[in-house]
Amino acid sequence: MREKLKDSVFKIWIGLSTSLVFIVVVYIFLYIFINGAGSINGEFLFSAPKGMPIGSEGGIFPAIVGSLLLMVIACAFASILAISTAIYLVFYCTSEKVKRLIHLIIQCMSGVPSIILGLFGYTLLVLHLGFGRSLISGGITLGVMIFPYIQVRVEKTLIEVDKAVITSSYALGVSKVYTLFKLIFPMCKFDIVSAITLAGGFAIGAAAPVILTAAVIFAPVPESIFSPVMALPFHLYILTGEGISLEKAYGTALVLMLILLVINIISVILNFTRKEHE
Amino acid sequence: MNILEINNLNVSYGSKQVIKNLSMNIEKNKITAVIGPSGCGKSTLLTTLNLMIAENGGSFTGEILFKGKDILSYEIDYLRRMIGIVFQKSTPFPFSIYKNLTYAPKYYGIKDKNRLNEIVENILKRVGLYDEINKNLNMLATKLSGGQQQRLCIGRALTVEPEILLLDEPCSALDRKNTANIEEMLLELSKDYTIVVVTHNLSQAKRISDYTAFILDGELIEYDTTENVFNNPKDDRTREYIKGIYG
Ligand SMILES: Nc1ncnc2c1ncn2[C@@H]1O[C@H](COP(=O)(O)OP(=O)(O)OP(=O)(O)O)[C@@H](O)[C@H]1O
Ligand SMILES: [Mg+2]
Repeated sequence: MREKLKDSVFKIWIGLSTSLVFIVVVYIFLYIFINGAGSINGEFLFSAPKGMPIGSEGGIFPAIVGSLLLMVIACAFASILAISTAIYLVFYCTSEKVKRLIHLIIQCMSGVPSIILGLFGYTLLVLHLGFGRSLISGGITLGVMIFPYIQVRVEKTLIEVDKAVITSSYALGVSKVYTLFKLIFPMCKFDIVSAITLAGGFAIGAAAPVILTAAVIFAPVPESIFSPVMALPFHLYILTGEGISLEKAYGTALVLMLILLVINIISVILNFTRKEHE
Repeated sequence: MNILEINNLNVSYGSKQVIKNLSMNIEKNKITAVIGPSGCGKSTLLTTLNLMIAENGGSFTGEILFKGKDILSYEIDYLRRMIGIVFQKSTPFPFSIYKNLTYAPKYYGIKDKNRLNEIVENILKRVGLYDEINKNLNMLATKLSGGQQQRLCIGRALTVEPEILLLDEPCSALDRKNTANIEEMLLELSKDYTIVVVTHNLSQAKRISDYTAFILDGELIEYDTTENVFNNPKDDRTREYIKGIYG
């Protein structure tokens, strides 16, 4: 009887927490949707900010392009390093000590607050290397931020590949590199791409590193990787922080959320495709 | 002719010695069966022969000659190509049947589509899958039945044109009909290949092998023609093992 009671209390508790989270998420989304949907139209999406103060009229096109470019650079930079690190740890590193050391470093990296990473990017890339506030500085800083995130996931995916399958490849006299590119990557590609897209979503939403390394207020669409850019979170921050236009701020937030939604949906679809392949 | 000569082989994992001073020769184009209780070192012996043992964390001393030359003097890739191995648990790559069979040939530089198609067709015929699946070459190999998967894996090992085929309990997870299929296939293959097969199934060893080796605790107890081992064992332990399973 008592156990039964505990059981039902527990069930109610789980049910309540789940619905609470669900309600909060839906509420936030609806709230932004209702407040932001009004300002979204062709002009808003495809023109530069105008008006006086600037931003009170016009659109957010430079910020959308800037954010997407930052995300692409961050993902490219981070995934190349993260995948290489994961491959090294899983298939080449034989010393447990080295493995533990690298894991420790990556863990520390994932714990560094993003504003500190921004400061690091500012000092090294913007000042020291002379890249200035630019797409490349911001992209690399964001890349450093999402690197641990991608690395951990890719490593887990690689570890989960059936050892017997890999061994049968070696047993055919096939080299390790061929096995990696023709067997292991194709087997893991959905998981790897899904890890990268999710990390991209993480990067596109980050404001702090971008403010210090890439963004200049109302910068136009960048001409090269050394041009400064505008980014959605920063745009949002300016619009609300300076009290320029709350309406436009909600519009910007909605666009950012829709981009994130698309990224997440892509990742979910990839996951499904993978399941179907198995 | 002896294609493999094993002299005073000792194999260990770390400090644990699994194969103890084992010497035996494997005759070309014959089927040699390896029998013995679980854990006696049969799989270890097989994986040593094409140096897969290193991937499992084992090491060996002693001498193994492949066609009269020490196996360590060959390039490891070449050796593994010449001495193919198929494991107990079938391990098709999670790609199409076609890709499973062209994976290794492509590595060895065969790019021509017609040539690849020819290889796939030949192999499927050899392992008796042609009639069953030649229309579904794009089917995922992991969707095949257990017996078909195992035959595909044997086929995949043949795509690199080995001289020796090592099989580790190829039928242990299969029913009678599939087992019969594979046995028939092995008899057919032994015309062109040297086959070493580990089996728990003594009647299988009796049915298909020319020679039988009985291993106990990593030691080679008896090695002779299959007929002699089963009808006329010299060692009491062999006699007991054979009787024990039967009776
Ligand atoms: N990778 C390994 N590391 C350490 N010990 C191992 C390893 N592989 C096998 N062994 C040990 O070596 C011994 C022989 O194992 P092996 O797999 O060769 O036996 P087997 O005769 O094939 O047995 P079975 O008939 O059950 O397959 C066992 O005691 C096993 O525990
Ligand atoms: Mg075994």
